[in-house]
Amino acid sequence: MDAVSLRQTARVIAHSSSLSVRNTFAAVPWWLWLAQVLLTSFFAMAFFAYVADFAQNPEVTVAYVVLGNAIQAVAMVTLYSVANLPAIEKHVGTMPVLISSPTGLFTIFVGMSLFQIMAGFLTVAVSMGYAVYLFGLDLSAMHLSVMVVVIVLTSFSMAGLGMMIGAIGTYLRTGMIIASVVSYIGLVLCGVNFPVHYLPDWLQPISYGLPLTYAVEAARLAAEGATLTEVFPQLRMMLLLGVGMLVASYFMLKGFERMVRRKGAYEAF
Amino acid sequence: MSPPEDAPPIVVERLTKVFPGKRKRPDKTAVDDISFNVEKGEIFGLLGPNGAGKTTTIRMLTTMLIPTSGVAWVLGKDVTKEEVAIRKRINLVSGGERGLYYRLTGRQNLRFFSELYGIDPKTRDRRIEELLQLVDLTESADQRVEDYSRGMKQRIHIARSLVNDPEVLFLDEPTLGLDPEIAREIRALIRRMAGMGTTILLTTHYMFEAEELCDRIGIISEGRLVALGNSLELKDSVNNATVIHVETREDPYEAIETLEGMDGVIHVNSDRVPGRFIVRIQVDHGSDLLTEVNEAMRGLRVLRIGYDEPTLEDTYISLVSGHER
Amino acid sequence: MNVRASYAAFRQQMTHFLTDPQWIIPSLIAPFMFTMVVLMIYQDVDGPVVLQAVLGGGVLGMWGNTLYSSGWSISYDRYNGTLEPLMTSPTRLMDVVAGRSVWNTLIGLSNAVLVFVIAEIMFRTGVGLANPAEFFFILIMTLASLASIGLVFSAFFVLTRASSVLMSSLEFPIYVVSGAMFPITILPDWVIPVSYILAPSWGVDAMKIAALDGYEGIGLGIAGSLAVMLLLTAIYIIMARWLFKKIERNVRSYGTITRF
Repeated sequence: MDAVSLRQTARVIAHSSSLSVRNTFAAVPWWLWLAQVLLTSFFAMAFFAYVADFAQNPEVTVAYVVLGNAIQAVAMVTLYSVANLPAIEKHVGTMPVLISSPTGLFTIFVGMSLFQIMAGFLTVAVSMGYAVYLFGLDLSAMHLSVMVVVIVLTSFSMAGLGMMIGAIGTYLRTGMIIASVVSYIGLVLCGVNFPVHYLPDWLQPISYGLPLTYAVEAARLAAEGATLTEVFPQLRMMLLLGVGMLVASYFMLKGFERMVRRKGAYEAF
Repeated sequence: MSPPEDAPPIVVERLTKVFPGKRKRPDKTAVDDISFNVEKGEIFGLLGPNGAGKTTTIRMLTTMLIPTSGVAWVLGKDVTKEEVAIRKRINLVSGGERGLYYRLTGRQNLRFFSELYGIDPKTRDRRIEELLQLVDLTESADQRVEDYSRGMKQRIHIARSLVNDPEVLFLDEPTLGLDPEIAREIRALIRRMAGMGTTILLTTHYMFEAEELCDRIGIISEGRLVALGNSLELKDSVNNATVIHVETREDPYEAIETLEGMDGVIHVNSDRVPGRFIVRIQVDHGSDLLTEVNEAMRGLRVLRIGYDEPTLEDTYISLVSGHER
Repeated sequence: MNVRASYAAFRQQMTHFLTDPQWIIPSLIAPFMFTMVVLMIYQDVDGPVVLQAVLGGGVLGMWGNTLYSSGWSISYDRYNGTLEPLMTSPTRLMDVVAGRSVWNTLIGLSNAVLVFVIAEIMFRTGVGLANPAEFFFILIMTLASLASIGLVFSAFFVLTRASSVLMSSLEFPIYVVSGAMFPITILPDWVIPVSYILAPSWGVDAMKIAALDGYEGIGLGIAGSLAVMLLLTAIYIIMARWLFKKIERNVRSYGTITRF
């Protein structure tokens, strides 16, 4: 890629990102959007906190659950929104226009997902705040820089997963539904609300194929005072999975563009 | 206050609609003090550019919008206060791809809307079959609307609008975006409905459609009714204008620029058809600018040049661009 | 109330749903996943607590469907361009939404059944109800109450483009205060009144008393809880009527009918 195409790519990413922001706030005033982020993250956490409180399971305490849900909050925001991007373009009828532009779908969706990643950071930060100040999570041993790295990589890897799910969704009519399903799967499979070893043996390999599982593990270690070196294995897996899924989404979107051009089936799927 | 006993089906008096401005923008006057009547069985056309106020006017008359001031009566009932009584006896076609339940069949859509109008089951079933025949959709009645072509969707819109056998029918751009053959069928249908006694108010962009269909036309621009009458009366109203008609082989864009700045020229309108360019220059009545026009066209192959009567389109452009009131 | 029009709307919603049932999945996912999580957390606990979790999951399923399907009802018409022909008809919008709410609530019931069935297969919960006949009667009453609250939701959502934001903002708060998965008595004192104004919370309470041996709940017994629920339901219907009238008038004044 030469300097000109690099500059052009950066411009498309910047403009797609700006479009995503404007789209969001054209439909919904910023304060309502923010209120939704604040309310949803609080109540999602509160639900499981009260369940844990009622269940009195010594392994699954309120603190255990709220930390998991604080990290999982990024799935609710980043993963769901990014996974839904291609489905929304198909739904509103702009997919043919995007495909017929000289810029690939991957670049456009990377740009659009930047805002969702920022929103993910905000959601996690807010959720952590709730966990500490409202639900009594003790983070006194934590190194802040380690937790920040965990959160950044969580957002990145979830965006990668979101791009891959979104790319799968372009081939199907049910893209929006798949995004919905996947964003909740983390609740069950990724050690958010109970340890992974509670799951049947045949399900656990799936857990370890999802970046959120490593994110939650890393966050739990970081909360107990782990250093970067100590959480490195989890961080490495998140990075590998995130990059791998991003690359997979690139090729899937390219494949989709080629297939649609060959068949002329823009309104299908 | 109510209209007299023998009042026409549609009576509009000084109707105005102002939309409050949002986010520090000024208020928008979408319809400004318009008055007109529509007689029983008449096809009345509202002609105007985008944003002129045609759709806002129709929405007020179909009780979907409350006027800011002025009054309107449809079938003797006040559009502001007696909306339920009006809705039982009117209907509206907005057209386009939307406005139907696409996962339901054509027949199911008709049946659903019939129920909303309280049509008794026997009449409903009979009427649905008649309407499907009228719009030539009997064979496709049990297909889902999402599988219909655009023309079929428009036809089922029209069928839907007739489920309650309305006395007044409002049509908002009924042939917009349709193939010429389908559009011709829709216009024939509209004429047939008027022939059966239905009063029709339609909005359209198409001059020839207004001229062909409408008994009278109201031209609306920036919310105001700038002209009202049949097409002959409207053309006569542009009585200070003559039209010079020119056809050239090459694009006369430079000539048009010259003519637009010339004294005595009211308006220049150009169009391109296969093989030639058509320019119609409205000049002040009495101005003899034929020589000047010829001079401006120097260097171009002129296929035809001469005086012409103003068409409805000339009248419309003249009125809407504010040169004639 | 225009019963014929409501029935027509019920049929329209049913047909719409049956031609493309996949759209049930988003409102089914959260309750289903939540139930699975709760059952996993409860795995060392057995008996009535587990049944309560399954019951709770079913109730969440009904809530989720009411919120999304009824909340989306009028917004869908606005998006689809069918709000205009609906509003130019002589039938009140509320009568149309009422018919659809009834269908949506019935589908919510199927959410509940699905959650029960899957919980039984995966966790062998052994759903044994203490008083089955009473339970099913209360269930029907609770469904009617949910339908009425669906009416209120759809009235609120008709005016704004932010309806999807409002809907998703309400989802989790309702899950928390509904008393579905845990007794509302463990919530902070200031939250409990919010639970009390949700009519279905009383229905849930009555269902648990009927289903679980020895469960006391809020303390009014089945009859008391049912009475409060029915009273609140009547209030919702009155509220919905008033809201729809007000909203129709506002929409006619500001012309926001076709913004989507």
